[in-house]
Amino acid sequence: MSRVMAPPPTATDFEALHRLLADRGPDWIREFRAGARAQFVIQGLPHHRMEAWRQTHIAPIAGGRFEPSNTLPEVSGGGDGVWTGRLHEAPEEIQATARRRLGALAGQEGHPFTALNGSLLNEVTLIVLPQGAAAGDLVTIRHTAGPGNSLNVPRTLILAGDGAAGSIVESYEGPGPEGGSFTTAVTEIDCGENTDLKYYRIQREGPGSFHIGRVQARVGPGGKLYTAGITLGAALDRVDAGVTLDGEGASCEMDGLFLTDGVRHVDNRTRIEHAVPNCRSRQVYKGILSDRSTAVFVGRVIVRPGAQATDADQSNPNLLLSDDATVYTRPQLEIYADDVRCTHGATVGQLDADALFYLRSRGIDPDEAGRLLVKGFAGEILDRIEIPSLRTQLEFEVAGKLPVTSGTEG
Amino acid sequence: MSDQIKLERNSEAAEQLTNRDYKYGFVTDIEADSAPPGLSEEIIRFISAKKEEPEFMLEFRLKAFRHWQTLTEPDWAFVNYPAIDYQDIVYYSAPKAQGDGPQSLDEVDPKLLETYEKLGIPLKEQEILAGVVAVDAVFDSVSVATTFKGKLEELGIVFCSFSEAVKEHPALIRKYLGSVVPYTDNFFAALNAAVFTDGSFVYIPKGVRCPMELSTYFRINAANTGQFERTLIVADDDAYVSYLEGCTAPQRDENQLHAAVVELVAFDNATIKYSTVQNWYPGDENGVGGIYNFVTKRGKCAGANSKISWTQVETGSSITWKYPGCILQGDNSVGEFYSVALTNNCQQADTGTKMVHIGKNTRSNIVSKGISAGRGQNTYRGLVKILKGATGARNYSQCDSMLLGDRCGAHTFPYLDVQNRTATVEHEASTSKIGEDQIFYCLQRGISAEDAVSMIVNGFCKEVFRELPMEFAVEAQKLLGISLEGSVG
Amino acid sequence: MLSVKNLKASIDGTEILKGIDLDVKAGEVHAIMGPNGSGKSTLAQVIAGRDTYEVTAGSVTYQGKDLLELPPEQRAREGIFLAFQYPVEIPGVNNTYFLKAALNATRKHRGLEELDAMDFLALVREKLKVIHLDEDLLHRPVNAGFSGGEKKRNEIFQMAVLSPKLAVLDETDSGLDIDALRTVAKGVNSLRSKDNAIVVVTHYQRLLEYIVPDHVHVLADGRVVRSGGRELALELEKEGYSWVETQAAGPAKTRG
Repeated sequence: MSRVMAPPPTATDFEALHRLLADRGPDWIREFRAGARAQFVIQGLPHHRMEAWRQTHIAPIAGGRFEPSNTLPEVSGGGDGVWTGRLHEAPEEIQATARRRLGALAGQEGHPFTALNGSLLNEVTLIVLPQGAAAGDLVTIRHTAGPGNSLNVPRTLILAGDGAAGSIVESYEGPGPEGGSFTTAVTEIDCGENTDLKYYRIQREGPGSFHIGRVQARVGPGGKLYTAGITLGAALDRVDAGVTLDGEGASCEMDGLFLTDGVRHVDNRTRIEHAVPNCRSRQVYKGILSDRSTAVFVGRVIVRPGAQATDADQSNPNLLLSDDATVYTRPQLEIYADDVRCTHGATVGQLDADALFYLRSRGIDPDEAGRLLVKGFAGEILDRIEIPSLRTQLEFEVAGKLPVTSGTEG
Repeated sequence: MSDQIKLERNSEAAEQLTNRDYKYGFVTDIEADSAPPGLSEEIIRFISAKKEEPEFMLEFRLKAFRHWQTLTEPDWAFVNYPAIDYQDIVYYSAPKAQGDGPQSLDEVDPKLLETYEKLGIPLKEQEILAGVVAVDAVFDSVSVATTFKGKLEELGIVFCSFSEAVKEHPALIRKYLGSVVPYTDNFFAALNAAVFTDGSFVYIPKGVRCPMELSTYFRINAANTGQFERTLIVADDDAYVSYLEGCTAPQRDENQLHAAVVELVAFDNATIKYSTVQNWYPGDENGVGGIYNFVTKRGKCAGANSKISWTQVETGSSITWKYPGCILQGDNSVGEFYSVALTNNCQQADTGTKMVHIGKNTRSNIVSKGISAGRGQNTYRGLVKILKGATGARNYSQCDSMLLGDRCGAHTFPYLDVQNRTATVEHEASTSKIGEDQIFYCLQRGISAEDAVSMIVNGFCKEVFRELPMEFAVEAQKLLGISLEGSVG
Repeated sequence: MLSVKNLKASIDGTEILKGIDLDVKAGEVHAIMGPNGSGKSTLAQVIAGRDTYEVTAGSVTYQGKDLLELPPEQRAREGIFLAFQYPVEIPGVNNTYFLKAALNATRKHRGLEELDAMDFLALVREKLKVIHLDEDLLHRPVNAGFSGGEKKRNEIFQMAVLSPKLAVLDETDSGLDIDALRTVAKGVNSLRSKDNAIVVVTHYQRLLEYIVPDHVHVLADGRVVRSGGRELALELEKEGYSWVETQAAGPAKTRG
């Protein structure tokens, strides 16, 4: 067998791809790429002996050959005073601010894929909600991975000025069922004083794609940030989402929902940092696993010294719907201040037998009863999505992904 | 290190052994019989020879040592300490033997007994309190007194020092040594397997319920002497045993390494209860001195319906690195872990448990209470692993942390790995400051602030204390109070 | 016994007590009434020594001592008892154990011998009967899992055991049904003597039917706006607190 097997395709030479870009774009972006490249060279691609990558093996990424894609994100919506589009097309004053902020939140150390994203950076999608912008139109950013074994390097920068409010939906899609694309995405969100921002991140890439994402946000004094991370697609998905509560009275709510089936693998890492006193965070990440899929959740809440009067809750409930699925969950609290109230919890289980029986005793057939309960489980997250069209769409997609079998077996 | 250098070092060590005076004597003036500091195959051969061990023991030690050399010290725990120089540790020291060793307490060096008196463990008194507790006391590395053995022997119970067991019950040792904690398990377990000098061995035969709590008090007293105990407890079908382990250490400025291994094996319907009160010297308020407590404790529920229950109260040591766990192999077996860990001043604790569910309908219950005061850092780290075949497995974990003061830290790192859909795993944790309302309520009733804190903290730990045997529970509550002294602002 | 003069106290910079005067003599029962937020509970907490309130002016003298100088546990040992409006739960701490520690701390302070377990139990049993508390509650942790009524009765029970000189009852009647109210009143009345004094803080006149006060003070906006005899409580019941509030607003306006 081994003799007739084709030699493995040569791995992608990210270094060469970086060099290809060397002369492109203005000085600042070339400098940015060079800095990121240096970091990427130091770190290299991670391997499974590293604690942070123990459960997520990136061999298909390290060994795959990916060709740079040139698809551009579609950005729509906005409203008065909201600037959306490609960074280099923004007016100079906005550009200047954006250039300063780019990379300031999503540090590269310990994040090799953030460094990789930076070293291959070409386009930056920029959303600027100016000071006092009202919760007007929804901004949507749609990234579509290029066909085949494409390499995609989407980068987004969201700047919300003091008092700004708004909603942003960022989605990752494509390619088709045959594609084996690799996406390394980075989004930075900087929220000023008293902002009220809602950020929805939907990953619904094709079943053969590899998606590595990073979201890093900062919330200023009195600001509110709500994030929802919905993971529906990709063969391998890993998203590191971090929020730093950086001003007194800041708060964040992080919701997550991941559905895994087949042999898919989803890895969610969250990190909420209470850097100053009087902040609140709440986090609920829910997983629904079927077939032979695996899911990882590592959620860390850090309360820095002096961050008194912190209030933090975190939970990760998981539903295991098949005998072959595996879940690894690690909710973590790291606390260095004493006047705190922090809780976390994680559960792994199957559908509640009493609830199933109750539904069946009302005449509902077992499969339908199971689906109802799973929908209810997911509904706790989906119901909090305040954009009706998005909620309906996601409900539909989630329903379509639920396994037909219910809790009656086993 | 090149082979050449190693050889030189080894021969040098051997030379030291034969030629030079023993510099590293006991503080209590007992003529000690110590190895020079350092670790090599020669030293291991010396230990094995000193202990007149059979060949299989030497082989076990050498294999462990060779494996240990390939390992690096783990760095994932949430603790900080200066690098340990393993070549600067004395791996063997024993009180000088008097002929064939003491046969009774009367033959024990009176100075040793005096030291125990100072530590508040009067062996004589304990002997008078016949039938309550059997004590297998370890002074430094060698057992010097064992009481109540006779009574236990009538029931077929073996309770003796590890060295004695190696001589008297080699078949049992050969069968179970390393069967739960193999020498390949981790860095410190490998080190222990290579150099352990003594410890306790318990065997409870089929159907026997051990009529008394078995107890061992460990002491560290010799300067720069690593303490490497090994405890092995085997409970055969339908057997029951409750084992108590308590530790105190005299004050000392130099950090001392303590890397013990405890292995428990429970067969069908057997129950082992293992309780620890650990109050080794924690170092002073500036973090000077104190014991490094790097311990590997694990029990195997090998048989159906077996049960292993760990209860620990950890108030001492400057650094604690300890995860007593259960391998739940037999169907319907039960693993329990009840823990109180307190860190004050500069103490650091990274402790928790490992529950590995293999058999069907296995259950585990985890209750962990962490208290951080001063600049103490307290980490709960616990693994719950449900393997594919563990149909109907259940786990419930409750981890609460209490903070006293704004310079300490409390961290909770559970690891839940679930591979079976019928399993139910629940983890809940909370962290909060000691209740100011509660303190004021106590003050209003005339109770002093210090007593109020001690009372509230003890209340917080109630669920764990009630798992301890009565006399231990009382000691533990006192300890908590003592350990918190000065932590109230 | 207790003399409060021009007491001002604030929390986080907001002044709650704006100059309270109150004189309680041994043998007297005083009722302090007033609408929500008038400062009734603050006064009770300040007397007990709660440090979340900052005393900015005035004095409190108790049995000739400067009370404000004493830490809360010393005040308790000197005979001041506060029945909390919201008794706190202390998980894992046995009620009996707690009470014994409290009683012996006070006895020690007064130069009395500490009670041993047997004597203590005898005392506790005797007091339990008065309050109609289930002995079962003794073995439970302090207030943990108690119903609202049980918590309040537990406060009165503790008071009975500790036999204070000055008892301050902070809205002990709230949330009690009529039977419980009678029981509580019985417990309080049994403490009444020529040597002791009781301050009843309440929103309603109801409790005062069972614990008949010698003096009634009405608090509004951090000041005593009316003082009088038992009839004042009845008057309040009839007129409602809005009547008091207009009285309070009046002088405030002329001042401002």
